[in-house]
Amino acid sequence: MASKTSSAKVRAKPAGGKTKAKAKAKVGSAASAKAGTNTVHTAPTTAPRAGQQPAANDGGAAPVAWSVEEGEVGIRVRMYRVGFGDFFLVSFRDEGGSQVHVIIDCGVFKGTSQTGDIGSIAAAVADMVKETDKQVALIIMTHRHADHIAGFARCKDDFAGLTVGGVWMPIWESEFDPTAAKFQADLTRTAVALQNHFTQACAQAAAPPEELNTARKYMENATGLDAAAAAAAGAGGAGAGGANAVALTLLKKGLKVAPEYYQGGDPPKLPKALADIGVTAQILGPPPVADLDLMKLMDLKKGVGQYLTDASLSGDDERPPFPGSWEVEAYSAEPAYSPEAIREWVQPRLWKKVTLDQARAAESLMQSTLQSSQSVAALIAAKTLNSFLNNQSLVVLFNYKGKKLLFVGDAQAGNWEHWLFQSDKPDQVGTGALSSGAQQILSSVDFYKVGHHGSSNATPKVVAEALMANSHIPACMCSTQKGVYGTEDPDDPTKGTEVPRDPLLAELSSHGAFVRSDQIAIEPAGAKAVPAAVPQNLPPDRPGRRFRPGEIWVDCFM
Amino acid sequence: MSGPFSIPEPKRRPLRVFAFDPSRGRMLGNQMQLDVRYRPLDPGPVDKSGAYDQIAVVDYDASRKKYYAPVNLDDPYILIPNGLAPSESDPRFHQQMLYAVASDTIEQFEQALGRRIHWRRAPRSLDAPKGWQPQDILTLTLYPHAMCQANAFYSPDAHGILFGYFQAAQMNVGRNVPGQTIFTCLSHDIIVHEMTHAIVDGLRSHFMEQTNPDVAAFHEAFADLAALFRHFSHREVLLDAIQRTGGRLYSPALKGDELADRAKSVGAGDSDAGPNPLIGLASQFGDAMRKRGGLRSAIGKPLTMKQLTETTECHARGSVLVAAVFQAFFTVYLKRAARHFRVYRAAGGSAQEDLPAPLADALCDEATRTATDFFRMCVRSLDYLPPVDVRFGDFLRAVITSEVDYDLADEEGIREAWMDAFRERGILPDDAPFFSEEGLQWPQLDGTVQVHGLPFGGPLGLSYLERQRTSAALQSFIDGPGNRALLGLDPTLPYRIPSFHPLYRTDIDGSVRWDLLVEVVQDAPADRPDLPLRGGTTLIVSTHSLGSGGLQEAKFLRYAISKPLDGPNGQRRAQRQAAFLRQEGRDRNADNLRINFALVHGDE
Repeated sequence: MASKTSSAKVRAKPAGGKTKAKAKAKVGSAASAKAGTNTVHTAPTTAPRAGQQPAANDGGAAPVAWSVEEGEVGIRVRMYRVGFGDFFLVSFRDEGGSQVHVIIDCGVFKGTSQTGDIGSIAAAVADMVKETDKQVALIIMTHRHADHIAGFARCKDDFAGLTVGGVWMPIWESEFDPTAAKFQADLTRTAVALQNHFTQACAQAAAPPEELNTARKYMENATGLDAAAAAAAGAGGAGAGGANAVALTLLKKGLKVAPEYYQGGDPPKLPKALADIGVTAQILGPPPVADLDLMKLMDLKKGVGQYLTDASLSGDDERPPFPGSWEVEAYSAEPAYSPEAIREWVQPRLWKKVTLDQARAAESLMQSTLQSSQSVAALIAAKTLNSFLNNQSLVVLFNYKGKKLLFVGDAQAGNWEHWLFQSDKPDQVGTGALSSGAQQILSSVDFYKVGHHGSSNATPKVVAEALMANSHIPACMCSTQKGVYGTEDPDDPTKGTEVPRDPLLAELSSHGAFVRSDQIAIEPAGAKAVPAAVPQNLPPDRPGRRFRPGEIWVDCFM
Repeated sequence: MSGPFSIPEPKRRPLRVFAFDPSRGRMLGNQMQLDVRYRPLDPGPVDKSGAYDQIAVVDYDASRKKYYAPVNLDDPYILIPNGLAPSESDPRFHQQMLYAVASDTIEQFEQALGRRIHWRRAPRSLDAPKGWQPQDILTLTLYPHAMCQANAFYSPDAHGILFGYFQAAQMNVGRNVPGQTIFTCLSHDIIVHEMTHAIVDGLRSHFMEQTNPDVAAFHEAFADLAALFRHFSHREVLLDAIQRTGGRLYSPALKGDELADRAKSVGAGDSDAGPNPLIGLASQFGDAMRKRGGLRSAIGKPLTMKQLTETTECHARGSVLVAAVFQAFFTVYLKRAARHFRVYRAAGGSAQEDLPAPLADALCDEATRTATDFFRMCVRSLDYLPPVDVRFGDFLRAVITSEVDYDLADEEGIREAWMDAFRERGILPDDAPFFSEEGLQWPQLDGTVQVHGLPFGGPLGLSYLERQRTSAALQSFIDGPGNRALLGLDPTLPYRIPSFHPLYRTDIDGSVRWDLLVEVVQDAPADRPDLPLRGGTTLIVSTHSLGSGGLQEAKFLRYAISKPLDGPNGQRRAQRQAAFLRQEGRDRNADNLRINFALVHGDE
């Protein structure tokens, strides 16, 4: 909801915040209002201490402590540094100083290294509550991964206390679309089964291979079930259903507003406050449910379920195929097999008779190879499921006073493809040429939320090229935490430890338009301070675009 | 063992197997005996022969980290009853069946190819050190109970084939008991299918690299075809099917089904009629995974490639190819069967009656002969495919070319049947000038390009020295002036020769003719993303030209079947490949492009 600004703008700020000096804003002057930037500038203030809320709150007035500078239209995108996860607060401000707030995702996930969650999300949510004065026009949940929704569960009382104008979710969350509902139920069931599978496998192995652990974490991300906590709480404990289920319940039922479920091409129903202030929005993804083929979601069972037997899905123990009396030792004192059986595994290769000693030495190589052939299959199942979820991401393009903001969630290739190459001619899909519509959108985007925490396959190359076409460089923000997944590639647990830094990010950085959340040090109230993870300065100001660091966030003003 | 009363080594070893899979129980013709080649065996069974095509069955369960007791097929109590009786509960029968079906499949391929096969060899450059490499597969190892997964796949990393087992679904399980353990290694179809992958991977080094949407589909289709055509060698089932379909083998449901439908409508119980077992793959596997019917069915889906331009799903694409080949097969079979029907009717027989036994017998012979012919056509054509980036259209061109080589006259119109079936389904080659026999044949060189210094070898192939000489002769030929351009090879880039095989065949006039099949491959350098990943040419060097004899000492290049790296053809391939990789979200990395059968198979 828009709230009228009081004349005294106050910004809550902790004492000693080193960012204070940078937060200064120009004193408003009518002369600076230029074409298209009909701005009202606000007086800069040095704020009193946090915790005191001096702004008049009675008439629905919210504290507005940010100013609109020359060339800007009154948009602030606040990226909270929460660790490995997304939490964005987008505020639109009109000439009168009224603000309208949109929340896009609120999640964090600890990852394999357990370092993804830096403990700041509660403080970030508290800041959001203050900034919005509990008036939020719209909450967007891009998809149901914990790193995008965990915060809704963890701070559900804070969210339940908000006045929310609308909730948008991808079509896949709808209970009214039978295809989607069935699919999502299957997917959840499979994710839980996979998680159990990996948890068991990790428990059985003396030193679980890194990939197994990674895959288990993926499934935790997908289900929101914390295996360790669930085990501690006992079966059927409070954790049943997982944090993701709590978050989904809150978003669907706990905010006193019925969610809207969208797929690419749907005309969105804008909450009144957004429409009133002149914000328009376009839904670009996910691909329509009917278009399962393009999204490569053809058959979850085929992609994932084939690795799981019915027993493992139902949680029963897998029975041995034969009674124990059939089990033998291959190369014990009385070998059941001849050494020749294992010739293939004797190193170096030989073409003469294999001795028993050679066979015994080679046996473990065969065994470990066979075992690894299997975990790879299950891993790829986990990966497939992971990208299914990412591809469900709601992709939203906002337009406010000619500035376009693109939020893509964690969309991967299948999601992008649908709207990038949309064309009457099916042949076009393969040719790599963008549809003219996509070209037009991308080349005019002013702000881009970098997909999937900057991972290698989240921003297709053609998109990167189109984004930077005509030396038009959008502001790009990427919420991530260095080293959370050992691989730094959250998409692919099988990839090892290579670091596929996307050329896109490098390119954007070199153009001075790219900010990642872990490049600032934060001092959240009530949580421990976290130093910057990457040494990097914020890009310099340009006309119509500024980046400013904060206590636990980076702001992008436009 | 020699002496006046010694018994000669047996030629064959009879072994009992399931003709389909255990779900059919002892139902008609579900048990059969395979007479496989005799080889000395260790318990496992493990081949002791030391041949390049040897196999070993190792019953290691990696899910449970256990071995199960191996079978000793030389035990007299197993020898006397022609192998263990079919049993689901005895792992030794599983091992026996796996060994028997695998050996049989190898023999089928070797007979069709006219030479011994070997398993996968790791790619090597021309100057690589001699000797085996760790990735070379010398013995293909078969693991009958490798994992508790509803999956079975050929894995070059595991140097073999992993068969899974799993518990059937609790509900809606078709023929299976709820919760029953299903063994993929007891499905005749699945074994043949996976063996086919392993054999084809051994024939060509780069066939499995998915550089276009047809590659994985081609392998799936080819393996399905091998499994399907095998069914037609099973006389008892074939006779039954012929009786029940009135000779129209292509009918998807057997005659009993109509009766069953009628029976159901009046409240009577189910009958034992089922879908035509000859044209369904692996019905038990499919039933257990809660899908009706077999894994993939040869007929039924009259899809065309046009409807599939957008899907890269390999089974959907592959089913079009399977359906096309089967249509050609049925066309030829019906033509051959028609003669018998005419004789039958001329003698007063009526089409309304059930087929009399002698007629059914004759039809059975025709079906078996035709299936064998078609299986061999498919396999022979592998030698006529380009070494990389195969598409469905290339397969058609390879079949037509090898058939022209094999049987120039084609009095039965077999090639016509192939072309019709492919044309109907919109499987069209890219670059053939016309859709006719002449247009589809790979262009033939005129016989003036001679290759000098090639040894002839002997009926058992080339000796070690002869292989060295062949390799040297081929290199000096390829390096000869202008020859790289002629062969469609890039003159600036290095090349490799992954394989060459001499073929000894009897010509139509009874003379022995000799062909040498050579694979030449070039890799695009890492800094040339504008080129397709690999280019390559299949050379066929011959002594005889078509229709005329040859000259001693004159071995000439007859075909150069090329997928060039550069030029307009190379550019088109590069574009198509880039688009495909992008669509699939894959890297341009040959290792990642190899088909991962662990992901392709499983629940269909």
